[in-house]
Amino acid sequence: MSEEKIYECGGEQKAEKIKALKEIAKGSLAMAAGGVLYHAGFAMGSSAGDGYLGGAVAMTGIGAVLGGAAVAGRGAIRFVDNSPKLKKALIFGYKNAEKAANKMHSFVKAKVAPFVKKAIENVNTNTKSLSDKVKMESIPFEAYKHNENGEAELVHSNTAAKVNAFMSKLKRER
Amino acid sequence: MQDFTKEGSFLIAESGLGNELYVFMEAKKDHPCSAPKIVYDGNDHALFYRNDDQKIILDYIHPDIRDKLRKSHQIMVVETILENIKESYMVDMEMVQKLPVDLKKYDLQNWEEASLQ
Repeated sequence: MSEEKIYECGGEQKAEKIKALKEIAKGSLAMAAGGVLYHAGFAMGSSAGDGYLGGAVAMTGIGAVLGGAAVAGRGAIRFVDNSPKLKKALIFGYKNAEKAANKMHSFVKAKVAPFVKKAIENVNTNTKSLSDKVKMESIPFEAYKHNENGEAELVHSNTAAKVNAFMSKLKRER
Repeated sequence: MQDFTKEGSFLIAESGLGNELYVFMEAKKDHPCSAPKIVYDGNDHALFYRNDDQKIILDYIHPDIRDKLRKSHQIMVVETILENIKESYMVDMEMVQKLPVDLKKYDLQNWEEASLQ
């Protein structure tokens, strides 16, 4: 038997995801541009002998990296809030990014990695608080529905079981 | 006659065998009428007639589920409050060539147009 599938629909969810994706793209571009500036500044400072100018360009690059990370992080949080499945992928990606970061310059590692880590922590905190809230307010589903007269009627047991299965799946994915 | 409201955010679930569909949406006031129905043309949006006063546009239906929705005769609607179920009921599907509503009036486009904005 194949697995149940759940499809997200509706304009609000769609608009939020597009907005988040745009922020991630914008932030990533800023980070890439910042990285280029940083390396250019570093090269200028070390090979051309112009330490001040190289330092200024490098600092501009670092600023762009941090700014880009902030925008991308915000986009990521919004996107993950709308796509719980991505949370695992994001954390996996972060762990690999951390390994790659070990090979980078120590200054960039010290400044950028904690920032990305903070963004991931924010995602965890948001998800956890939502999960706690839902847990506190949840009551067990009794397999009843209301008829047109407002009276409770027992839902067919197979249907109730399937609805419960979907609800469990939604809870897990959250 | 009351206008339609847009649902905005809802889920469509497909059972493991792929022959049953469930729409999970936020709980609404009052109860549905004795014969609620969904009118669908197989495209981006569907019209859900919950009762005489509540007419809801199920907007931006996910492209991957449209074909199965189009072929369904009945689906289960599950109204939820957080993770609790207010009520669940079967809804008849009615297929039409074109939805009897001016979607531009509700600022609705198709899935692809909205993505490219």
